[in-house]
Amino acid sequence: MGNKTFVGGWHVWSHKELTRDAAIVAAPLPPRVVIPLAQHAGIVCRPLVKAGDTVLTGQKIGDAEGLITAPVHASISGKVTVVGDALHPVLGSAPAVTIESDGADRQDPAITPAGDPRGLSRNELVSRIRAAGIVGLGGAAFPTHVKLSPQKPVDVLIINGVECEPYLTCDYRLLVERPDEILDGIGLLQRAVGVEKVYIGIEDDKPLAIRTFQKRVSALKLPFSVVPVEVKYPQGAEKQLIKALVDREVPPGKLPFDVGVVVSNAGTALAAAEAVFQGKPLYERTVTVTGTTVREPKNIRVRLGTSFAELIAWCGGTTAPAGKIVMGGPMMGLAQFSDAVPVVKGTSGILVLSTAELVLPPEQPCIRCARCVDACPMQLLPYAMSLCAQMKQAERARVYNPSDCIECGVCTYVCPSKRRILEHIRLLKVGAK
Amino acid sequence: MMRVLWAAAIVGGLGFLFGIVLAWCSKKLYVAADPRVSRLTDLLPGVNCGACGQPGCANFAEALADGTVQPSGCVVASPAARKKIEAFLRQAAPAACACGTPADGGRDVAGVCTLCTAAEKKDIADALEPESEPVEEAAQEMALIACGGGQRARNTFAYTGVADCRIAAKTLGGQKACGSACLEQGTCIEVCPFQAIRVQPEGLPRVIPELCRGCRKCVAACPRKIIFMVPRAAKIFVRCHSRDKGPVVMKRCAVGCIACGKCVKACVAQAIRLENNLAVIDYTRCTGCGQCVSVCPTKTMSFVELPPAVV
Repeated sequence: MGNKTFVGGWHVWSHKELTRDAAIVAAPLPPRVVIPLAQHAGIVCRPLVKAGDTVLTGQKIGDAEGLITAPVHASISGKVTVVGDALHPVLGSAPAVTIESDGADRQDPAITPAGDPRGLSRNELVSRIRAAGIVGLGGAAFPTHVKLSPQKPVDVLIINGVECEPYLTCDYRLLVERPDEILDGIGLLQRAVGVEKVYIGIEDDKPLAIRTFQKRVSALKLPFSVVPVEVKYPQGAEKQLIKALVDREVPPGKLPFDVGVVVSNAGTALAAAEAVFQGKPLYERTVTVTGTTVREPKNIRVRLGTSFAELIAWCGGTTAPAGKIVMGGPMMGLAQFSDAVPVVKGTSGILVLSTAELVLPPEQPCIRCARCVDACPMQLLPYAMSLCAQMKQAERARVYNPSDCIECGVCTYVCPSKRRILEHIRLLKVGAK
Repeated sequence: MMRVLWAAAIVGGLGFLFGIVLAWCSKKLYVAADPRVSRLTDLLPGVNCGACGQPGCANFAEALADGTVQPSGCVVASPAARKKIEAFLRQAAPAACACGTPADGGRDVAGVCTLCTAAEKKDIADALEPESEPVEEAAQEMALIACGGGQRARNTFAYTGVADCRIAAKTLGGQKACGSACLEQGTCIEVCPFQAIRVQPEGLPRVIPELCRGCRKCVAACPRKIIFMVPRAAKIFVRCHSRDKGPVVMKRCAVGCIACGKCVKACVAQAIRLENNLAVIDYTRCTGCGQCVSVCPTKTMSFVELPPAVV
């Protein structure tokens, strides 16, 4: 009997050995940062500064009215040079604030520790987390304060320390290096949501992290359960993790709180702890810079807005010309067309693939082997949707529920005919609108 | 002998029983079909393009007969065809026949009241009879694609995904540096029910004015929203929809409108104005003289009729 898991999925080759043992190091202060005003799911921020203004590290430079949004903060001190459209790793181009560093990294005096957080009420906790601009650091960048105020009764908090994407190790390093702060953060999130049960899910290819957490949890007598889960992609996907840990299924089109669950990333818990205990807004995050051709792959604590090029250069550059630069992991990450894009809140990794690794074999006809059906974590029929999309029959594909696809890409990974199944399903999704 | 009689009696009896059931069904389960619907379907263009919002022409005809839609809802039909439909609806309206007989007067299949004299009947029938040439007149509007970029619009990356503009537009905002450039994946060509959009050798799609029936399907499908409806009489169009400032456009595209204003000055009919760094033609004034085309430094201005490859 193995560890807990969900139905479907696939053990993908992880490549985590590149950076698994690389301790997190802080990157040098960048001379210039480009901080996009759209770093989260939801409403884009209005800039609060204009060109020529002097800003301090941690100063709020963008905010927006509305529920689903989060403020953005300056990540270095210096002078604002441009407020306008700039490259963005997700949107292509988006409004951003460019800051030239003065090299001093002067902190905003408004950043002060909160004192004893145990005295804070739930609402105060949530508003502090919002003010710090904290969003889900797993990649989707959904504002955390929205998750912490669920509209339905919730009884379980799940902390996602799975990190199932190949290559990425930043969450793993945080789990190993800063367990106490993460546990503090989990405690805060637990109080903010107001639940009894807390599960911390960690994939069982990270035995050190599991051991560390089990030890700390029992030493501190915390009411959390650390649950090893099977190594399988996409174990870290929200719905799959809920299924594995508490055996609840999120119905199509519903959110985790509909089944009484809030899921948060381990890195987010750390950011919440920093925000509440130190008052520190989210202006830096841990990023894995990796790839077989990167000279020194590293886990780096980096100021938001630093360009990918700078980080890759700081990792010694590449031994071969980069064929593709991906933000995030290879399964769900986004290929970039420029290395000048900045690190944003949702950047969990920078993956450099060489041209030799980028072989894209021609697409062959479907042989109905049903490997994608076995692997699909949502129990869909990817091959059928792919065929419908190729025949331009979006109507016919509707019975296969393409909208339930979580776009994990495991179908495309396992396909022996090298079919671009996920792309076809995406086509159905946009065609359906 | 008895066997034969029994068999005949059983089969005959069953036949009689079924006959009764069928007769009962045909009375009780009868669905009153509007006799006008089939005529209206014949009068409609019959291409089932779906531009009216109904699944097809027959459904639109039903809605017409119900009075829930107006004949103008069919944008594809020519004015003459529309007039014919209107005439038919007027005369076949349940309220009263053209001869003045009220609604309960009884009608024949064409919806003409049975009380009309033969002469009146013939007049009405003449008005309704489709002329020898079926409805193939051009619509009043046609679509034009406001981008002349193609290979002259800079790519930021090579798009290798599924050939569909809607997916391409979602991939980091599209592979073109310009945010309003045609993505050249052919979604408009696919959705056009009249095959009126063709690919030019340089990769850009182009609307063939004679084939376009103005159904707006391409307008709805284009993720870049750069397909516009213009009057059929339009002779000149602006092959750009970028609202960026001149220097930005120049970096991204060799054909983009840089808002230099030369066309505005050159236009004798004062039909061109600049709006948000983009030349806009007022088609109520444009005479199609072509002065703007000859002065445009980037060849953004182009004749509709000529293939755009006049650079």
